[in-house]
Amino acid sequence: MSIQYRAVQWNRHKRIYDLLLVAGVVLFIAVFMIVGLTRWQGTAAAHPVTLLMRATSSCAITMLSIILMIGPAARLSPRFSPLLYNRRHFGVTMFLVALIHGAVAVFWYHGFGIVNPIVSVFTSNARYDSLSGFPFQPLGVLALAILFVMAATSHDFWLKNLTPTVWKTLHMLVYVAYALIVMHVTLGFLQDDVSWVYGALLGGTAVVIITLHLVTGVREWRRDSRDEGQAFGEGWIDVGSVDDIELNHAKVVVLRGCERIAVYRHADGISAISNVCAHQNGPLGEGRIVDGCVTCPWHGYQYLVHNGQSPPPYTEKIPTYDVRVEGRRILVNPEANPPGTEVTPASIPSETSGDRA
Amino acid sequence: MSNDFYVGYLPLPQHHRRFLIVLLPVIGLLAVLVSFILSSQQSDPGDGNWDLASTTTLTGRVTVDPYPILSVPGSEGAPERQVLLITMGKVGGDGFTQPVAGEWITVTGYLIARDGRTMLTVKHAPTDITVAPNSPAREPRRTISLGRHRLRGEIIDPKCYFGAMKPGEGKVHKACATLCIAGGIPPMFVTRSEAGERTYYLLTDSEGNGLRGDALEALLPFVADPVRIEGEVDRWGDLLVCRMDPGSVVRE
Repeated sequence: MSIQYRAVQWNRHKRIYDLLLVAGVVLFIAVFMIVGLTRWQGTAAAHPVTLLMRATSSCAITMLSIILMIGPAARLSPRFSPLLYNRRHFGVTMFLVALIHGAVAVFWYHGFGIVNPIVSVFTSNARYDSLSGFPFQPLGVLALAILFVMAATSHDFWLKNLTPTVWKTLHMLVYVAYALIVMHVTLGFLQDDVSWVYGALLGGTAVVIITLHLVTGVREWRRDSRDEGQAFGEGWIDVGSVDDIELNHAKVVVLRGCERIAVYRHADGISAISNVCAHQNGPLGEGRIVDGCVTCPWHGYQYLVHNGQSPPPYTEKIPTYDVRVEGRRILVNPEANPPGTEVTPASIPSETSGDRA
Repeated sequence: MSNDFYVGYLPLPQHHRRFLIVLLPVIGLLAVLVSFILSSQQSDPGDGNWDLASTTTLTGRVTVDPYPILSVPGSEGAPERQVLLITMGKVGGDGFTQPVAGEWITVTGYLIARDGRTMLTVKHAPTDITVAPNSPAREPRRTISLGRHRLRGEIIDPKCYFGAMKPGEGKVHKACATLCIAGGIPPMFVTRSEAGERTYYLLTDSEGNGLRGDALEALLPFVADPVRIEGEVDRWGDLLVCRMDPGSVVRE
């Protein structure tokens, strides 16, 4: 949470995360270079520049694959949440490694000639009408451009000023970048006489990423279908029983087929807020109440449960919903209140109340 | 608060700590394993070599047609060595050889060699070139015709293929090879026998002229692709030359 912009809001977890990240990158590239330099020696040695280009590309695509797995993994099990917390630094680091690969490739393959290196990237192979001969390098440049935009806007300044919806849409381009990179490798390196292992690893990783996303999507679709609110009289929707919700936990409910809300049970009763965090659209209903505030499971952004406002001095706000309890049933008015609107929590009848947590 | 809920700026819950103690080493080991596999599975980069640590000095007759070539007399009955002359970068040797065309010269540079074929990279022309005072009499180039051949293989830029790039072939290297050849490095053709033995041919047009201008433009799209060519093959000393129509290259 922030009230002023800083380059990085460091804390212990971020420092450890970044140290391990950098150590992993250095280790990956070092192993690749050492194996490459020792496998062939003397006049049979591979050129170190070629090895560096391959080491950085291998490292970047491995990092991107892990990044794309973290999201669905954290949705399937909260135990992966610590990997998600600082994923932004993971992404920026991955971009820097990919940038080294791109810069070295342009320098090595397109430099020293009679054509501008950048122009050469797009013109030296003009077989745009052939699949096997398709120029793969422009695909890599396009992917790198997307990763650059993402890395450059990986800061809360841009998140706030672009709005979370635009920012999130922009960062969903990571899937376009991944597809471009897979094509870059498939139509480039894999077209040469290389080991089958590369194709198997690339394809296998893509299958794992797609499967994780599909499993997560199906799981959420099933949950949404199961937990869709049912109309209850005029203007209210029955979203379930208070007994379905543990203390300081929430139930995610779909209103009118599309809008997810988080119905929290807390010490003062029942409150309903938007399920979408104002920071990065994180799923608030999968969070907890910590220190009296709804806490997002992604980055720990907090909101007061009765008005959807971040506790002062923070300024984030999310929509709230009118809520009441009849018997043991929770009823929600599907019309969202403006972000930050105070709503009195619905009391749970005393004779049946009892914490389950 | 719940003791199993992770918040980045709060102490790590035991539940997560136990999981991370297992997960992080597993990710690290997998990364090392992936790196090792990817690196160890790389194809053989070839035994070409560009010796930038030491210079080589050669003496012979320089010709610029079809390309800058130094013809070095063979020793003890060996055929005359044809050494292609180039300079640093993706540029041919036309510029520095024109003033000494036809002369008997001594030239110093960095040798590029693979499978017995050699090129000399002249870094400091014209300082590294001297016209020898006592030159042997000029003789016409001795050409042995080997007949018409159909060849399957790849059009290469010999500078990279013989050792500047390691590896300097295939689709990944196509852009670089195209730039090199467009910049004046003489195009060559490599074929591979079933046993893996490579044979190199210098490419010229049907008349034996160097490929330049429109003829070169017709050839460039096929560089580094698997192709088939047909032409008259000659032998000049230790060099095979294929005289071919650059417009007749067929992609395989």
